[in-house]
Amino acid sequence: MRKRRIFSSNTFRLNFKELAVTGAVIVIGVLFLLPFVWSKAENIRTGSEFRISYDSRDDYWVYKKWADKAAEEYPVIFLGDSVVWGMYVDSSSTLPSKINRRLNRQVVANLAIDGLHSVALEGLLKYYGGAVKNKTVILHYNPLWMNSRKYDLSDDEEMQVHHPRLIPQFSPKYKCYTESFSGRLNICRERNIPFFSLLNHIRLAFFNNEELNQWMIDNPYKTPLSQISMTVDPGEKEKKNSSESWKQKGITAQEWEWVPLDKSYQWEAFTNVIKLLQERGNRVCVMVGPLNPYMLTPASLNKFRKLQQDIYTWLKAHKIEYVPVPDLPTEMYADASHPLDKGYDLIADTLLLSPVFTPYINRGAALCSAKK
Amino acid sequence: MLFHTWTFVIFFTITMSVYLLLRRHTNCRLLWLLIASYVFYGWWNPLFLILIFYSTSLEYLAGLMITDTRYKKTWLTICVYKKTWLTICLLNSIFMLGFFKYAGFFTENLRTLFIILHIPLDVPVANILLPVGISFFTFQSMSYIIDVYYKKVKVERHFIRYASFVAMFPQMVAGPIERGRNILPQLRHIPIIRGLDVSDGLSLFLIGLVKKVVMADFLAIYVDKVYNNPSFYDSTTLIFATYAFAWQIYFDFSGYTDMARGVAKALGIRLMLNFNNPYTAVDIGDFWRRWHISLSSWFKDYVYVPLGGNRGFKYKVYWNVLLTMVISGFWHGAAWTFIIWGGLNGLGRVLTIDLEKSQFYLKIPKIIKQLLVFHFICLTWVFFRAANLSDAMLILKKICLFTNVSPEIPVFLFGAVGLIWIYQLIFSSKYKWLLENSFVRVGGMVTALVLFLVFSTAANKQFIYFQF
Repeated sequence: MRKRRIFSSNTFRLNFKELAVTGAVIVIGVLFLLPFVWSKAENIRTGSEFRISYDSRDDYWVYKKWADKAAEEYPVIFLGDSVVWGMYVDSSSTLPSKINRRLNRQVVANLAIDGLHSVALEGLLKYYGGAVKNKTVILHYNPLWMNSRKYDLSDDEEMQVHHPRLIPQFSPKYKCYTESFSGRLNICRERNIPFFSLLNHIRLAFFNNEELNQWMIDNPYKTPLSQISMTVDPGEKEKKNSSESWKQKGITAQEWEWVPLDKSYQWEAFTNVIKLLQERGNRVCVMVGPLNPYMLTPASLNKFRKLQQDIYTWLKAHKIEYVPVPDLPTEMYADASHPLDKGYDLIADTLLLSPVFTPYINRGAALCSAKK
Repeated sequence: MLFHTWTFVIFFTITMSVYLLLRRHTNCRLLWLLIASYVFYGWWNPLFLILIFYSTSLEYLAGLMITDTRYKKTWLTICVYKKTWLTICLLNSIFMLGFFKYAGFFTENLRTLFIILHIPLDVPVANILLPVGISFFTFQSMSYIIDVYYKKVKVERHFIRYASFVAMFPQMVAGPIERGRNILPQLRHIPIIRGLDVSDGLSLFLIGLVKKVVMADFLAIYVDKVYNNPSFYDSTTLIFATYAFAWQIYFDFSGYTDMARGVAKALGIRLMLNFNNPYTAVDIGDFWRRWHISLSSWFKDYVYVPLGGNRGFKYKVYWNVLLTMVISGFWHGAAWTFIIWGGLNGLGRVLTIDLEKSQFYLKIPKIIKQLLVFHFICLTWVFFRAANLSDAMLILKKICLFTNVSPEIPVFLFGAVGLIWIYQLIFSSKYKWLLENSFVRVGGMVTALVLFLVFSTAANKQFIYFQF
């Protein structure tokens, strides 16, 4: 047998066979098997009126688990941003909760997350929402994301994008999003290899969103393993109902430019979301709005009305069922788009009276019962 | 471009693929290696390429001139002619280092001196961007030209080959500082790249990656926290932060050279060993034979020996050691803290030269000697890491006062460092065979890579030695 040469200042000189064994253990055992076992062992608490908390909004591992569960247990899935999620209300006063209460059963699951613009929603469904298939989906569209080129992500100027880990990293390229090349590849890695999504989940759920090494320095005598439990409660508990309207907050009228439909990145992404959901066998109904018209200057309001009409025309042309949310009384808006508790009541009532919406919900619930 | 980034993974995949295709075509292969090296270096700042190209061209020309003496008639004119080219070249390297690295230091000290002497002259402090790795590639070039002068290496007449030697991307920015006699012959021949070279290269690279991303960057968080505000911490914390820095700089620098050696080995180029478990050294001389071996041997060959080396009476030798170490300290950085660091190391060496040879020292258990050397080296690291001289003095003062008020010691981090130290002690003992078992090696590598995966999300820190 050939004598091993002295190699470096350690003995980690692995031949191809040993490297292959190492690689296999890492790839099969760590990158894929460990997240699978973890996912089975971990209990994520979700009760009725559940929504993912504000602090867990970037924990897409939890989102995936919640989406899997919701797709199994609820006939209707409600997707959207903080308007559906319930920015100024507690968990029992969100729009999905109010609809469920009016129907006297748990029909609609709240799969909305705070700050989820259409470009991010597309990524969320693509990478973490695979369970949402053959369902009835109510898809909220918030035109507020088109109020300027900045929020539409069509501006060239660098900005802090909401949910950057969900937006396309290479194509299409958003000039306002300036993550480094390595950073973008790390995001792609997290989306496609469950281990990295699990790591992110562990960091968010157990280590206060700190990197493990930073946490160990900040807590020098604590054991990292003692922080980890197999039961996670990512539901929102902090939010209380607010009664302060936009006027009471001192918000004044805004002059927004509005990005036309054919030039809007957010709208393009939204149409991709509809397409993706339909390809997965879902029946999609779009809820457009609400948006506070009193917060707009007359010129801006005119532009918005034109945009609204363009949205309806597009949906009609593509045979997508939709429900426009009517303008609420001014005191029911907390800001540009979020209603207060009473506003949600009014929207829920309006939706359930809508000739499109109620049959749609009932049909979804009936189909689900028939399947069961 | 950093080794532990995706950019490098893509860069190396392309470089390696084309390199393998061109393996048998020496000129094309060298040209490709040069292009790749310039891309690698220019990634930081393309303007740096002007500097390295100028420096390479001058040294290449000087090498030719020193050798080509056919038009010189007498021995004297040959000597003058050769010496002139050597001087031009060395002065050029020294000027480059002086301008880019030390101009700020000199102008700042001059300014302070004028203030002390009440001389009404306002010296503007030079603030010049330091090209990455300048200390490394200038030293490599200097060694080549000196070796050509003393006929220790054959002059390189192939410009692309010489330029590839100077700019070779694996080791260009942070060493090892290679010698022409080791690398140039390797570049002349078709590289032999066996499967074992690739697996060795990969093993080296992975271990280097783990050293940097898992250990060095982790230790850096603790060290930065304590050393950035030394007045907030008690003696125990400061002592442990100094231990932490000793290991941080070891993992950081040896991690880089492991990666460099791994990359080079995959290209069929063998670079020298640069770190050999320095914290298992049993005396200060032994430490310097294990730490940054390429630099230590450079200073030995081109400073210590020309100064007289071991020749002459005892105090002359001591002086040579001290001066060499002070210059070595100054090479590391343009600040008084580095000069003191070098001076302390020199003083430590001088004071222990005779002791090391004594019967008394030989009787001391090895582990005690290793601990003593480690603690002495840690003492010198205080000056190396402290932001300035007053911080270094404050840290030493606080350590000596031995206050112990709620010390912050990340126990798991030090547990990991302790395990690695034990590994190194076993490696340098007669029980090394325990570590050569396949299960131990594969198990160790799997554990190291799992830790790498866990910590890789936060990996973006520069290497410490890039600043030199």
